[in-house]
Formats: sequence, structure tokens, C-alpha cells
Amino acid sequence: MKEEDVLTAKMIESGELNRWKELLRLRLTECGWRDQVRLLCRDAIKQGNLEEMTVDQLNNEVTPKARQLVPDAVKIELLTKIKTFLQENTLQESQ
Amino acid sequence: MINMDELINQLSATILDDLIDDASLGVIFGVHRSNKLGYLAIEDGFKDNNGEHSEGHPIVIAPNMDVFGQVAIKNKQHECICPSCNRTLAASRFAPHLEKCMGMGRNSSRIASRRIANSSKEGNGNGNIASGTGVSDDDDDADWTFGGSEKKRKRKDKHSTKKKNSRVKNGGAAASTAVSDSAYNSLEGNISSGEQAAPVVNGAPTFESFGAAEKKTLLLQICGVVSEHTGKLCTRTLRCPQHSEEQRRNIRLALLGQNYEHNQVIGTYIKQNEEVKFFSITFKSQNFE
Repeated sequence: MKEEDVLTAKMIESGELNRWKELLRLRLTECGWRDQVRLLCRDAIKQGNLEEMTVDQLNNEVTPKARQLVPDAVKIELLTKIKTFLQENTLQESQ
Repeated sequence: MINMDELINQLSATILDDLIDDASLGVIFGVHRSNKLGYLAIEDGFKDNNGEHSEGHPIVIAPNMDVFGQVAIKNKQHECICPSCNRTLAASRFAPHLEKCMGMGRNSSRIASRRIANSSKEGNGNGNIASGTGVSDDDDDADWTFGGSEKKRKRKDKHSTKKKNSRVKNGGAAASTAVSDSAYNSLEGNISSGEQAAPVVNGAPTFESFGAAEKKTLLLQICGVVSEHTGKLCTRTLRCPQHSEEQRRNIRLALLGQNYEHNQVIGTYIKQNEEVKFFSITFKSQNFE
């Protein structure tokens, strides 16, 4: 199993991962997720201490909510892409 | 195989989660930075003096109105009434119309003088002048163009061709015969004297009108080779690269006769006689002893 992980990681680093990242960013901005998360962050800042909010604190607060906010359509699209990629590559390996 | 599928699903889920975390981290960094730098609060907007958020300038979304709430009709233009002819005109057309109507601008005086010239040419049988002015005002409005009217352009062309014809080496071909004859006659009579009053053709002094001494000095300064296309002397420097020394020598031979002093830079002709005689270009050059 570990070997497979290593192999797939290598393949991803060929550039596929970057493409997925960009695609995800594009989709999230389009559907407004980005602005929602921004609002979340600003609210969190206002609630907490204005000047002492570090990135870590924000991160811990905001990230789980952000994950929930991602629309399903975007998730499914990206999941299918990743799956097809993995399937192609694992098939090659087995052959 | 089932294991593989499950594995793949798990793997892709983890990958997706990582990607989403990446994206949210990016947003968080941006917000945190703007907070640190102090411009996060600006995004909310400024409060008016009333204490309300931008109540003084609400964004208007309504038909027939622009964002500020103003009625948007572009075609509205102030209409003016001309004081002399009492017509209603659009504001943008008002100034040129006024110039024509009152007759005080540069254009309108030109038009008036042209009209006078035309009416005097054709005789005075053109009928009423009064009715003509009313109609032509509208026609003249069209003259208000960037390039100027076409009639004036034609005039310019006539002048230029006349000027070209009167230029240096016209022989008998281009210029009117009357002109060249008069030039020749006047020169013939004064052939022995040096300088004379130069007859002018169409406002430009011709080459034939120069005296012998002037011609010589001129040919000492310019290249002087006659170009085949235009019949003019080349006015470039004596070292002009377009023409050869041979050509320059030939021209000087033709124009001044064999006995003349060439420029030291160019040739080796030695002057035999002090006198340089003038020859008309329309005739072959003759040798003087």
C-alpha cells in the first residue's frame, strides 16, 4: 500500500495536482464559496481579539466550516477527476 | 478489486480534502494580511454623517435611470433660436450656423466673395440673390468639415501645376509657348549685358531669366543635372550621389557653352575666355570663341 501511495504521489507531482488546485479555486470562486469563507474569517476576527488573531487561530476556527460550505457539485466534479486519474495509473501499475 | 476501489475512493477523498484546505488557507492568509495592514474594516464602507451606512448615495436599479438615480436621456440637447433668421437649432449646430447667417466669420466672407465672383462671371441673370442666401446657408453648413471644401482643393491643384510648368528646364514642352517666348525675347535683347530684370512666370523666376553670371554661380552651387522625369535641374549639392561627374559636365556644356570655368572640385576644364555667354535652353548650344 505504501508503495502505491508513493507512486501516486510522484505522478501527481508531475503537474496534475496543480491543475486540480487551479480548477478547484476557479470553481470555488465562481460559486461564491470564497466570499462566504471571507465573511466567516471577518466575523471570527471581530468576535475574537482584533489585533491578536493569528493565522493558526483563524485556521482552526474557519476550516471545518469552510469544508462544509463547499457545494456538492464542485466536490463531485473534482472527485471524479481524481478517481479517473488514480484508476488509470493503478491499472498501469498492475499491468 | 473491491479493495482497490475503496482504496481509490479513500485516497481521492483525502486528496480533495487537502485541496480544499489549501484553498481556504489561501483565503485566510489574505484576510489575515488585510487585517494586519488595517484595511479590512474599509470593506464595510463609510458611514455618513447621519450615522447610517451610505444612505445618502444608494445604488439605484430602476428602468430609465442610471446608478445615481438620474434620468438618462442622451438625446436631450438645448435648442437655441437664431436671432437673425429666427430658426430653432440644436446647440451643437448653432455656432457654425451663426457664422454663416450673420456673415462675420472667415468662412462666410469667403463664401460671400465666391458668390459675388460667380454671379459676376455668369452675368447677373441668376435671379434673386435674396432667395439664394436662404438656401445656401444650409448647403454651407456642410462645408464645416475638417478637410475644407473641395473647391478650394481644386484651386490649389491648379496653382501647383502651373508652378511646376514654370520651373527650371521646361523647354518648349510644358510651359505655354507665350511664356517661354517672352522670356527668350527679353533675354535675346540683353544677351551681352550681364544681369537683367527677371521676367516672372506665375510668380516664380525662371532659370532662363537668370543672367550669365547668375547662372554660372548657380551651377557652381548645385548639381544641376536635368532629371528625365520632371525636366528640372537637380538642386542637390555638387557632390550629389545620384548623378555622375560626367552628367554634371554635360549639363554645363549644354547650358554655358564650352568656354566656362568649372568648379575645381569637379572638372578640369580650363576657362579660355573670361566671358560666359548665355544660351537659351530651347535651342542647341553654340560655341563662342
